[in-house]
Amino acid sequence: MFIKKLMMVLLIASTGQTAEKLKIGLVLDKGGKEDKSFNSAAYQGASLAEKELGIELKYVEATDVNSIENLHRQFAKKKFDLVIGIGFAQQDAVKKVAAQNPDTKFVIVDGEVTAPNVRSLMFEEHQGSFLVGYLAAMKSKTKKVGYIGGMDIPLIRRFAVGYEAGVKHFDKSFTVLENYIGITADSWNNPAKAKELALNQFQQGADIIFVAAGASNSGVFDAAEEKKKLAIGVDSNQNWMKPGFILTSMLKRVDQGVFATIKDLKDSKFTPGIVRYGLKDKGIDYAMDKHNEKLVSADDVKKLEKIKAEIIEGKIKVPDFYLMKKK
Amino acid sequence: MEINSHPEIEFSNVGKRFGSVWANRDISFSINRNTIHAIIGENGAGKSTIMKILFGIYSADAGTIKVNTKEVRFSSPIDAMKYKIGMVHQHFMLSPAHTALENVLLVDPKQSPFEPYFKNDKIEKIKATAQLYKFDIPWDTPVKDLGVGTQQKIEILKLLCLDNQILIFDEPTAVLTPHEIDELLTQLHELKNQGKTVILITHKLKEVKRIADTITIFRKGQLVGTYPASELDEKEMASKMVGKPISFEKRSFEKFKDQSVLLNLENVKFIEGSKEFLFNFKLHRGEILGIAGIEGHGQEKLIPFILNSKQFNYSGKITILDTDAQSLGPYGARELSIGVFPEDRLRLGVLPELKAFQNFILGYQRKPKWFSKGILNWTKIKTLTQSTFDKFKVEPNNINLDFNAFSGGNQQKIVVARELFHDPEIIIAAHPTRGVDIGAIELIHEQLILAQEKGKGVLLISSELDELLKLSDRVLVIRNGKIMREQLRADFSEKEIGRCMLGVVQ
Amino acid sequence: MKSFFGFLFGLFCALMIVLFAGENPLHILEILVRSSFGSKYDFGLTLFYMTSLIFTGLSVSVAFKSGLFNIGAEGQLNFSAISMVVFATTYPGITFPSSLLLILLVGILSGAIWGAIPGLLKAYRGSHEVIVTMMLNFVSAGISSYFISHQLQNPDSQNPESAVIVDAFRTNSFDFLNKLLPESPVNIFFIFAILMAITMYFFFTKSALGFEMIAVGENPSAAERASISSKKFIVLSLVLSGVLASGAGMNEVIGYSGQYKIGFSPEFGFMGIAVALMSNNHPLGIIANAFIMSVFHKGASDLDIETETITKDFSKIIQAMVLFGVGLQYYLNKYGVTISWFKKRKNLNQSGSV
Repeated sequence: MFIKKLMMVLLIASTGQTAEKLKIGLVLDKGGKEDKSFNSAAYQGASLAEKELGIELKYVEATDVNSIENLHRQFAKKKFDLVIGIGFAQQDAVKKVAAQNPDTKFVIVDGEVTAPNVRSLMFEEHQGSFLVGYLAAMKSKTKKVGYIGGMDIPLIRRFAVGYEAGVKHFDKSFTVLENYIGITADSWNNPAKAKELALNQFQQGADIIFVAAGASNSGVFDAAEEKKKLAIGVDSNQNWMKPGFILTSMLKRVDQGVFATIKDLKDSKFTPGIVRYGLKDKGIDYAMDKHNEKLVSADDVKKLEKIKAEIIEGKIKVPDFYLMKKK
Repeated sequence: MEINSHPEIEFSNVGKRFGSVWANRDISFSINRNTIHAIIGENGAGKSTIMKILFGIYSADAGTIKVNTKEVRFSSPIDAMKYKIGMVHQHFMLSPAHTALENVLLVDPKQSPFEPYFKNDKIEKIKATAQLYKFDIPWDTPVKDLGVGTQQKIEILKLLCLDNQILIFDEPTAVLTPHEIDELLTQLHELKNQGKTVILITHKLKEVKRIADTITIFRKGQLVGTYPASELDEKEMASKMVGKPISFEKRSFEKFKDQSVLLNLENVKFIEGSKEFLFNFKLHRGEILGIAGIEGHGQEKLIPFILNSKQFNYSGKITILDTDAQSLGPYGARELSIGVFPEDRLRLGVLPELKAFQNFILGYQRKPKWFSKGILNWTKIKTLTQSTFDKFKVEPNNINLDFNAFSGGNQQKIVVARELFHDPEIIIAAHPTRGVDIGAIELIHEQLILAQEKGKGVLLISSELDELLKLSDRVLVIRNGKIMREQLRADFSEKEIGRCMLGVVQ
Repeated sequence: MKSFFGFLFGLFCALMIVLFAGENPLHILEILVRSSFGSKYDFGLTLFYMTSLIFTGLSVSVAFKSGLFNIGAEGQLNFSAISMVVFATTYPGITFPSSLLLILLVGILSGAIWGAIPGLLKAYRGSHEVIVTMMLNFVSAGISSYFISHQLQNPDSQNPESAVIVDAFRTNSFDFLNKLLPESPVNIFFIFAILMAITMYFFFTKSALGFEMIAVGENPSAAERASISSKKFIVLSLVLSGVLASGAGMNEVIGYSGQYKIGFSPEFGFMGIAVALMSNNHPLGIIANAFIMSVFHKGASDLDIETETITKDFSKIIQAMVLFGVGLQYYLNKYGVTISWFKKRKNLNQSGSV
């Protein structure tokens, strides 16, 4: 009896309270919100919205590829107003579930879905990678820099291609070492392997490594500290993680995109279609803060800003792996 | 001696029940200090159960036990050890990778986890104890490299180092060779001389006769009686154990007329490991050919060799039932009507965790009797198993029990029944009565004699000289992989064979 | 059935832990039931997981029966899945009935090959099957990754996945089970999985081959004496194991998605080990335990959505508790301890003192 009553009270409490609030569901990728990188950024954006916009946020982490669709369905069934899918892997699920739940709005980050109730957030990672590549080349003494990707997938190759172009733009004679942690989703969560690869690249003479590997990044930072070399973080601002050893972080402002979308919905300005974030709108950027101001001088920043402007104006064409593949 | 005025251990009306079956019922007897007290009975008679109650492995369901007039109730062996009672189990509790000395050092219950194991005074004490009881132990050899007899000594020494007064031995001679048995019996005497009380669980009457002071006999969970050893001879003991007179008569050795050869090994020579084996003998129809030898001298190698000679790189010629073994496929010999009682029943003969009726077809699973088109006819198998169980008087008479659940004697009966079921022409019986009680021994011997009378050939490998002498037409003695001597029935001499086994005579 | 009390006990413990986390156990139970039976989609997804778990559970159990520990079911199902996709994309022109037969054959053969490698190495070179199967898991992951990122990448997707294979190779056009539970991934392979479990049951209880396989597992030296070649059966059972694991690959590729997605298996191969152990390798028990595992696997994400504290990691604790309960029951059964045993013992102690 008591338990039943308790349940009823709970149910009433939970439904009553949220009658007016927007309900936002966030489906994170396997890496989880503690990856201090891609998923973290998405979660930060959403929780900022929770604080500032007064929405109700519920986030979940996928257990496997087939569970993603299930999670989107559950959110839709529970009449959430907006369901956000983080990561390319959720594209198909969003496509399918959105078609069946026209009243629910969906957002897919890093994927493209064309439907009247879906907004796709795309980021021009190659542009940012080009910039940090240019910076790495400026700072390198050995004329050799490294790149470590997480899972070997097109998105991560896109980082690599942009980065290499940035390096070569500075000086064609530079060498770029390129390694990937693995081929399974574990790659996002394997700092030990990341460290091993980083140590190996340092051994081969690289002195700066750009890493795009989710929660595995910390392994590369450790290696940089150990060998007194430099690393470049990704997605979130990771400069604080090993101050003095992280040259900069290539920012992919998923938090901004997520926050802006929730705000649009709140202000009834939600529009479907593809929204691209790039250098122009600061959706893609590089991080400067107190942790790396000693590493990157004002002079360097000036040079970078010049390159940035040239990319925005279209004077520099950054190669895009996605487009290369289609050819 | 004041202390001898009362019995050291006194059982009164002790009972133990497993489910609805009483394994022991109403057991009352006493054991005196400083004696060798034998507890005998067939397998399943309850002799081990009562000792396990005394040692605290089981707890009694009824009755009381007194140790030195004090009533005790042990709930674990640790309690029993406090009363200075120790037990040497049939399967040794030794760590094979550690040396003999380490094994003894390891058992000290007062050892604190922070103290080093190797302390000179301890080691000296152990060595002194060993000397006192005349144990000769290679201290620094890992136990796995030691013989069974030496392992047993280490096991006994462990108990002695704990200052145990009462020592229980569970079938200690089952695993030993005749020579080792001699040594053990001498040692037991030595223990008695040093003031210990020795309790010996066994069914080997000869040994009992040799060393026991007092004998307590069990049958079917109940006590038959306690007797001074001098009052009973072997025959009387056996009858009391089984509950009916036992015939110790030997088979008749009228010559079987057919002299055709069933199995012929002609100058067969092969090398395995660093050992060389050389066999040259014939097995005739209607003959029991005994193979004597100390274990590990090559007689067991004969079995896999005869069954699967192609796996060995041998010279010479082996003919089985007029077929050259070279012309057989792999496992081909098995198809030629050979029954085998394996030398190590549990390891080589059965699937211990499967049911009895499943074990009944192992090795014969593709016989057309119950096999057609890939499918086994379990109904038929069960019926046939049941009828064999009845014939061989297997106890408990339940074919659905796991093989493990049967006592050693009954396990062997099942194996024997299986191997004889298909009426093989050649029977290789390796240690057919090892770990088997008197009733079953009699039955197994009868079966072997019956086969012989029907004109089959039996190759009997045994380390029990009595058994060989009782059954064989001829005895071959094997030593170091070679046949040392052939003795015909007429000139059998136990002494000769024994010395030949030990290599004393050439 | 024997493990049913253990299951209840484990579930009870799990729910008690949930109570400590501040959730209402009844609510959790309700979510679990709703998440597996709540809608046609939910039920279908549960059965879809169950299908793969039956296949991998059987795969692991067959190896166990002959005394081998196959931790390579994951690699076997993976290799079989990628082989089928490679085959179907290489020969897209094959027409319907033969196309389906051929792709099934490819799936079975590839599973068999991936089982035969550790089998042959174990039988003739003495390599330990655990090491070999584990390494082959990585090898097959590497092979599929190579094909996906360099040969078969779906041009319409950034996902690491192959393009969808032609319908002729798939069962969806005539899949009546999927029609019953539309939208969900469950498919005709569920029925195959059940049939396979029943077949394995009869294989082990009725056939001489099954008996011989068990004999090798129980006691290889005795089997050898009984003219049963343990080498032959080591190879045979691992081949069979691989073939059974390939069923999980077919469930995904032929039955459901028609493509190879990297990460399509949430380690079905390893979950299969738990299923086999929970069932004590009994093929019919595997059906029941595969169902329990899939309910919890499916429920994990729903619990994450519906509660505050039960995250997907917390669900693992609940799963582990249930596993533990079933394992405990098995242990007690093995040593003849049942509830009635406790009762009898009590009675005995009372009567014994008289």
